[in-house]
Amino acid sequence: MDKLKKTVKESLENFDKAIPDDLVRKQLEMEGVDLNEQSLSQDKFIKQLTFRLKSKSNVLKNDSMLDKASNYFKDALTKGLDRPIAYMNNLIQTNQLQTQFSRLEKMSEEQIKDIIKDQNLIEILEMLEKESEGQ
Amino acid sequence: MRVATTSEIIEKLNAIDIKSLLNRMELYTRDRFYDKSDRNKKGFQFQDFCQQTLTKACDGTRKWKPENCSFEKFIFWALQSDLDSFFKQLKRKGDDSDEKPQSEYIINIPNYSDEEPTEDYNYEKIDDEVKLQQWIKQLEDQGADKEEIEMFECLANGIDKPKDIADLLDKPIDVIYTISRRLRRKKIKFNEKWTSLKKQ
Repeated sequence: MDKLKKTVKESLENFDKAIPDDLVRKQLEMEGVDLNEQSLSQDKFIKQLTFRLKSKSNVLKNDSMLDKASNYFKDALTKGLDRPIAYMNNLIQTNQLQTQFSRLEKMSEEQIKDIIKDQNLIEILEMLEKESEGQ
Repeated sequence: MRVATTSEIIEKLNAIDIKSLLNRMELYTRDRFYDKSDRNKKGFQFQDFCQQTLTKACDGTRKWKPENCSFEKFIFWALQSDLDSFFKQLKRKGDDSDEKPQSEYIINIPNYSDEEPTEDYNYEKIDDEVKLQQWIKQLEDQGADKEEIEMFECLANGIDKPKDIADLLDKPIDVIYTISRRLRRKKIKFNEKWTSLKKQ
């Protein structure tokens, strides 16, 4: 970019950044903005935005935990670890899926995911980590 | 380049004063509208534009790359871009805007490095001083007063702290800010192509 244009651009940016907040509010007030009303509307918006972002973040975290847990489970079942096998058998019985999965080590990660998705994933991960450490 | 995660954006929002950001965004938005009535805003209020932009910038519709620029800079780039699209839509529907393709509002100079052209334009190099005088002339032609010209000269010389400008022009800071808002309404021609008469 041409040097002089860059200087003008950067100066405008720096100038704006350095304007004190109370001056910004004063300018808005001069344009007829009711600052109290504005503040209430902003509170409502910020609350909604942060709620949406936190929900999204939780969903992403849960998806990532589910991926991790199903991957660990697959590994544990392939290795024939006792506790994960017992845990999975219990889940399968609870979900009445015994006819579909007679051989646990043959289960795919997707099938494992489907079974454990509504369970306490933190508890599962802790159990799997403990099991593989004690192996 | 890496795009910020939702957790990083939440962290950023917790660290900044969102209301202050929204107020600054609103002032910028207001300055982009010549007509402050509801006539040309398609039912939106000024703060609706800001809230929509901030939402899109946070929910992943627009991708913030932290290594590229600060969050605030990204937000203002996004706001500028959203307003540009809004005005383009208005124009397509028959708005009689007099904006010319080769001129830029001072308020409207792109400020997000990713969006900048990566190669230099193949224009004739003009001495900075000559160029500055051309821009000043353009500003004067649009009715810029002495204060606006002096402020522009400060900015073109890299004097950008409101207090420094206030000291130099011997005016209070709030007056300086008002001058800056008037100045930002003016246009200057950046990168104007000079054509040789020999080719005519």
